[in-house]
Amino acid sequence: MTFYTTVAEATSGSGDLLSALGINWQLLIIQIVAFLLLVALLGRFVYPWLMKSVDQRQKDIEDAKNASIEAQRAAQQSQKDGEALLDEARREATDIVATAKQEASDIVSTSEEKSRLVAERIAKEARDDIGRDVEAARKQLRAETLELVALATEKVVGKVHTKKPDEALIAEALKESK
Amino acid sequence: MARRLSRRVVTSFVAERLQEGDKSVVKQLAAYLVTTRQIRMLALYVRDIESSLAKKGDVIADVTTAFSLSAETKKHINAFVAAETGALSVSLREHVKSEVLGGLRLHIPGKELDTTVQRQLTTLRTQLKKA
Repeated sequence: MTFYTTVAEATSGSGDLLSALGINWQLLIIQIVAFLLLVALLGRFVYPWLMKSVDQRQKDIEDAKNASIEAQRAAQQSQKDGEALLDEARREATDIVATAKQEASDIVSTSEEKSRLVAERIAKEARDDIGRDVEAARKQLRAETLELVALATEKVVGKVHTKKPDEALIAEALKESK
Repeated sequence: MARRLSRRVVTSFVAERLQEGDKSVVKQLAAYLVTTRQIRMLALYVRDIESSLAKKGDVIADVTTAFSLSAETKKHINAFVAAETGALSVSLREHVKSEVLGGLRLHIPGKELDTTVQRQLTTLRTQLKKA
């Protein structure tokens, strides 16, 4: 209030319009220069930094948006890949199960064949053993029979053979040996 | 201690002396064997002396039979041995063994004839077992 009063009093003497309006043109010019100077300073030092920050911020936002889109696309791709892998895994699992069943079947068949061969071999060995045992028993029986016959012959000859036929036997043996 | 001599030399000497009718050589041989501690070799000396005598024409034959031999059978055996060995004189050493059953087993130096029933049975048994 004091300031305005002072300005009114100062300009009442000059009587010009600016004074009538209460505007001090010198002060106005100073203020204009100061404003321009301020604008120049801001334009020189503040606005570039501020714009740069804003641009950077905008760029970060754009990057984040792009990254988000990329991540979404990657997630979709991953889901697709996952589904494909799952399908592949299911197919492989089915194949593995089928192969395992086939192999199990083959193993069972092979085992049956092996068991059959082993059984046949054991039976053949048993037959051979029995054959050998029978042959050995037959030979032993024959040998024992021969022994018995020889012993019986010795006993009989020992009893029935006398001196006279023995001398004839000796004479014949000597004659044959000449 | 008496010096050991070769068995061949000793047996040849003893056989020669025996052929000459000197029976005292038997005692000398016994003394020699005792002195030289060769009593266990007696059987070998006797065999060698018999071999030497056989070479010189005196054959000693071991005859094993089941029964004792008659004079006629002995004659046959003497003739057989003389024909086989060319001996000038034959002496028989008889052995009676009932286990031979029959026939005779004749052993002369370097030769044996076995026609006993026991041997024939053994041969038959062996052949039948092999068959």
